Amino acid sequence: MSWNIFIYIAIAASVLWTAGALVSIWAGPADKVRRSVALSLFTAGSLVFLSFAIGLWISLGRAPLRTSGETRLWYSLFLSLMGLTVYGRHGYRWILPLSAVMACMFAWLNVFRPQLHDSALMPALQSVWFVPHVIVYMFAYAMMGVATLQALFLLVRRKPASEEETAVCNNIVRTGWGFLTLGIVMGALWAKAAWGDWWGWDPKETWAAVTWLAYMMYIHARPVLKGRPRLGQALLIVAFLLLQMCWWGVNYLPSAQGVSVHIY
Amino acid sequence: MSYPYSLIACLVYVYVLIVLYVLSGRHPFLKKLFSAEAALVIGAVWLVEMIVLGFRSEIGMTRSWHFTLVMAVFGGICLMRAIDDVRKMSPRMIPRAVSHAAMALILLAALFGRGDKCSVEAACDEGVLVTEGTDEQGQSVSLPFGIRLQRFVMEEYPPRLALSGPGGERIPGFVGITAPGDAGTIGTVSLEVLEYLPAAGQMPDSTGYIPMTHVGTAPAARIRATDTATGLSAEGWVSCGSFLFAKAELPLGDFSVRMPRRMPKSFVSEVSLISRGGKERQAVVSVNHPARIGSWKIYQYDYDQMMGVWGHSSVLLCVKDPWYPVIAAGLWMLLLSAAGLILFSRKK
Repeated sequence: MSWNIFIYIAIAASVLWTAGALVSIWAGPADKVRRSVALSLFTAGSLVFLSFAIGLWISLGRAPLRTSGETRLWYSLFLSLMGLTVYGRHGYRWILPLSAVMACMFAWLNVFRPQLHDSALMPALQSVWFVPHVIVYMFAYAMMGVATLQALFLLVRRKPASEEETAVCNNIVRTGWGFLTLGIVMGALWAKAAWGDWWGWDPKETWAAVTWLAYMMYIHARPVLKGRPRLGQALLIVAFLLLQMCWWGVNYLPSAQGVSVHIY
Repeated sequence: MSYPYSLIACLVYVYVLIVLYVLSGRHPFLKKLFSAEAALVIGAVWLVEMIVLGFRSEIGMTRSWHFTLVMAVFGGICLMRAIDDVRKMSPRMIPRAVSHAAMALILLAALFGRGDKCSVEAACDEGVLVTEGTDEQGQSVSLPFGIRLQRFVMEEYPPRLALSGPGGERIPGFVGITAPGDAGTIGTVSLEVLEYLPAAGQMPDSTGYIPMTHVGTAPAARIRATDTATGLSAEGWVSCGSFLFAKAELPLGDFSVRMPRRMPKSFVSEVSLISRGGKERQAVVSVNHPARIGSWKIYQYDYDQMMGVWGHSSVLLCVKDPWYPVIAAGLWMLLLSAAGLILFSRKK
């Protein structure tokens, strides 16, 4: 197995993921047959990708985790698997399309930018935690993005949000916060193995903690927010702004330049 | 505060929290101490503290009395909530109970264990026995073991070509070099490798490069660069240089083609670790893979950046963290509770 045949893998996986995603949009919450078809198609796409990753592993004689191209393989695979898990558990119609877009994006990046396949991975990034840490954060950010869009929509709309609409939003936030927690804990476990310290209050780490704490407080504020959905929606938007600070804002903070190991 | 006082203080604090929880059965107003409202108030205070820290990046803030107090109160609330969760245990509450217990473990161990953690930087030269280093305050500290660096090995990735713009800014993209004939494009500039010497140097008063085998050689490549937008072309040598040879760049109109220093692929320190009893064993220290001796872990921390692959020294970070198992347990519990939340959280 080599990168020469990857384009065919990317085409096959993309077709299967897209087909699964489209069927999932079509399937209603009670439509078990169509949901099963969506899950089967999407799983088939992930299996195609997994078979390439395993084949490459055997050909290389080592885990394909060293170059940027190789890590993007795992991004695509795990993003699709996480989408499957959340769709299977919660049945959100948007989750498979979102996962398909993200997984295909990394797959086609590998197809169109092959010169990045051998892009060097510095020693600190050569860790089993690198890929899971990054992808759970991607997934968390995607879910919080969806929750924020929903909050914005509900806030702007004149009609007050129903309990059901608020509950759906809260479920998305809770699941997204679970992924945020996975990401922050994986980061701490990785940091201890790499630098001997769980946590260094690096600017990126600080803003990750801010984001995590803000969403945690939203989840715990549900009793206070009952009957005040617009306040909850506003808090979600504030929390998402803090997330933006963590994601890319910290790169522009003057106080973080030359201090953060996460800015490169 | 260090052991045993740190452990005593932690146990006393935990005992007080448990007593308060027990008393809350008889005095309901005490339940407010671990209510959701209390958590929100202290959480909001901590959030503000962290946001200020996020903007100012002053690590010293985390050791201030107010930051420490907020962490202690938050950890206390988590502990009392965890006890309450266990008392009311139902299968659906397991992720919540585990996450509260985990946060309590992590925060209290991080607070009370701060003084017990010891980090010592040991600068090691090949063949020399090292038994001391410097701590975070720059003070000399004796180690309860010896380290003898047998060999420091550094590997680098193959070199690449990069392009700088008129103001010296880096144009995104690169062209990897492994053999003559390698080619690629960065922006509007196409690059072709005509000759590649993995280990080269320059003779005095020469602009060309020749293969060399002694210490200090650097990769060099003779390239042809063409700006497809203007038709301008240039041919010449580029090299990343080393401690011995200067780097070489190829100007092309407003651009400059250069070879950046090769990116490190791995740093490995092969060491002998000698315990107090005189027992010696071999170990390998690399990034993400520390060695262990007794309750100490040894990390690959730094190297001789000037000498690079030709270096014969290494800086190892020796860390002793007696509260490691507690925090590790808390983190793994938090990981599992998050997975449980994702997989088993309440469906609408």
